[in-house]
Amino acid sequence: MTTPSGTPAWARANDHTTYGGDLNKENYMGIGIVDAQTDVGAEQLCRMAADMSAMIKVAPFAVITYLNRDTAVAAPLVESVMMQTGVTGASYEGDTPPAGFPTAAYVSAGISTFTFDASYSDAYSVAAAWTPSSAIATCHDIPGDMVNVSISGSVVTCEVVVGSTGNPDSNVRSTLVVW
Amino acid sequence: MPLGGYAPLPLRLGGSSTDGWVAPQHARVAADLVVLQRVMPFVTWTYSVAAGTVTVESYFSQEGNGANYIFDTATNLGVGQCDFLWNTMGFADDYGIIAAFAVQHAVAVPHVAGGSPVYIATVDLRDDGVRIDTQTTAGAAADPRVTVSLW
Repeated sequence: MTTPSGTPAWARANDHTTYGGDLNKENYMGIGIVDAQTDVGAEQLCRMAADMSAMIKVAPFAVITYLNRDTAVAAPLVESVMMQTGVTGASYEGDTPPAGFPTAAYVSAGISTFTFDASYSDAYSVAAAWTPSSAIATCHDIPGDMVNVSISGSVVTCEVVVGSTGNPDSNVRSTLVVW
Repeated sequence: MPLGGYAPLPLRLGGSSTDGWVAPQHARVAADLVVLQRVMPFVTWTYSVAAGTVTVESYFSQEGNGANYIFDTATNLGVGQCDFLWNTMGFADDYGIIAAFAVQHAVAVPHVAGGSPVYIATVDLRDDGVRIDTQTTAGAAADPRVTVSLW
């Protein structure tokens, strides 16, 4: 099996050379593209490599939409997850995530935590460590609600509050984006 | 097989770093491209409202950027509430291949000019787009500049 060069995208370490770029890349015998329908030129490959390197630097690691269930004192219902390592096909109970997806836990009214693994593997089973660095979140459907987000290690904490009072609000749906 | 005019498709992997594309590099491109398509936003835009008129100041989408690809409807329904809607939810790639997009995630972040008041934005997902509600932290409806991303 081929082992890909470099590291998985979430390590954010690959540069253009990882993807086949080279500052001195050139077309064979100096002959450029003769037929655009059949040829790939060095300049095109370099552009692809440079743009791949650019995108992996800024792509979110995970986008999560979830519904707090504070009245039931239950873990949030995770309705949809788009992660660099996979996409959910259905919602899941936060405390029983499918393999590879974050655990969501109830803390107190309006407060939930999302716990990620310390390392993830790509399609070739190449692993890279990952911890959340940045996160933002927005509430759905309740004008005036907002989410305070904090990060500690592999845990992202989201606190839903009424913006005008700072008091926790319950049973609110939110979208969380994590880098 | 080197790149260039004497190396037509299908592409044969191999060669050197200056004239070819080797298998590990191709594999990394394949793996990371799949990763990226899972998490990239479908669209990100910034808008402002003045006298009840919505101005979409920038629009970046997987279909295309700018005015030619913008929403079919960008409406201010009243102070602090705007709808951004498409007539159909099928979008075409550069080859004209159309696929549906269903909004599953949204974040909206108000901009602040020089301090207070602080604004709050919430989202309301629709089958045909999104509604954004904005107000101050004091609870008064308001129309700040907002940046929104949808997945």
